[in-house]
Amino acid sequence: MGAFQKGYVVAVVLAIVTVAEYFFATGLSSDDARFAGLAAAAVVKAWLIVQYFMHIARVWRAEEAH
Amino acid sequence: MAVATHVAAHGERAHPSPLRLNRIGLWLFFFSESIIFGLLLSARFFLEGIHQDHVDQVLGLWITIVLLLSSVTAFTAETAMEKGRQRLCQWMLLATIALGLAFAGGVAYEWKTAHFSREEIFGTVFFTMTGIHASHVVSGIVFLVLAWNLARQGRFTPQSHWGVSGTVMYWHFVDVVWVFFYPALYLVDS
Repeated sequence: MGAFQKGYVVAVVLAIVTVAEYFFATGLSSDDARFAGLAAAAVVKAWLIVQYFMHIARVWRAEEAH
Repeated sequence: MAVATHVAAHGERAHPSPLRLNRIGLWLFFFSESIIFGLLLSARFFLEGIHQDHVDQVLGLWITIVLLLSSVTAFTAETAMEKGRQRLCQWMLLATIALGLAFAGGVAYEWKTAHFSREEIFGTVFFTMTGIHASHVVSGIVFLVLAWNLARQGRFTPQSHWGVSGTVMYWHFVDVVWVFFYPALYLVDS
């Protein structure tokens, strides 16, 4: 998969999770379940951004152009 | 030359490149910033009396989607520069700036129409968290404008474009912070 395509797939996943967490939060009555679900969604979204958009793995890569 | 020979002969590690140092420095900066934002987040959950019906849910979702879209355009700008597509990079930086301004405008509108004041507990938390985050958005927009201007002058190449990469990473960090702030302020009740 190309660099552009991989980023767009991640973006679509982020969008789906964002809309899902909105409906999850507004439609659920249990506070504990809502908190747990939203916390899990936030961690997954943050990991996706850090991994695929911020390229954290490049910090450990020895040398690289640019 | 003598140093290089010495290093090669004794197997010692060479100094990291300026690019690697830039990256490590920026991540250390993100770490220190995360402590500030983490403390704000913990304050929000420590204080009582916060209910999600105080805020505009639809507006909150919209500005979140706008910030998410701006991360996509920022990603495209960096990737375009890596591939040598200078014009696409410039346009995507401009799109990111526009979306950043839209997000900041949305936050300003939320402040203007808020049904709570800064004297209330929720107001204190809300204005502090969104205010500090918005200040990072505004500084990110300034960096994006600088990067766009340098890109327009042809100062970056596919081999050397830390100005774009660092700015885009900062913008993504601002997005990561909002990933936690949005549910904490808009979706979690009590």
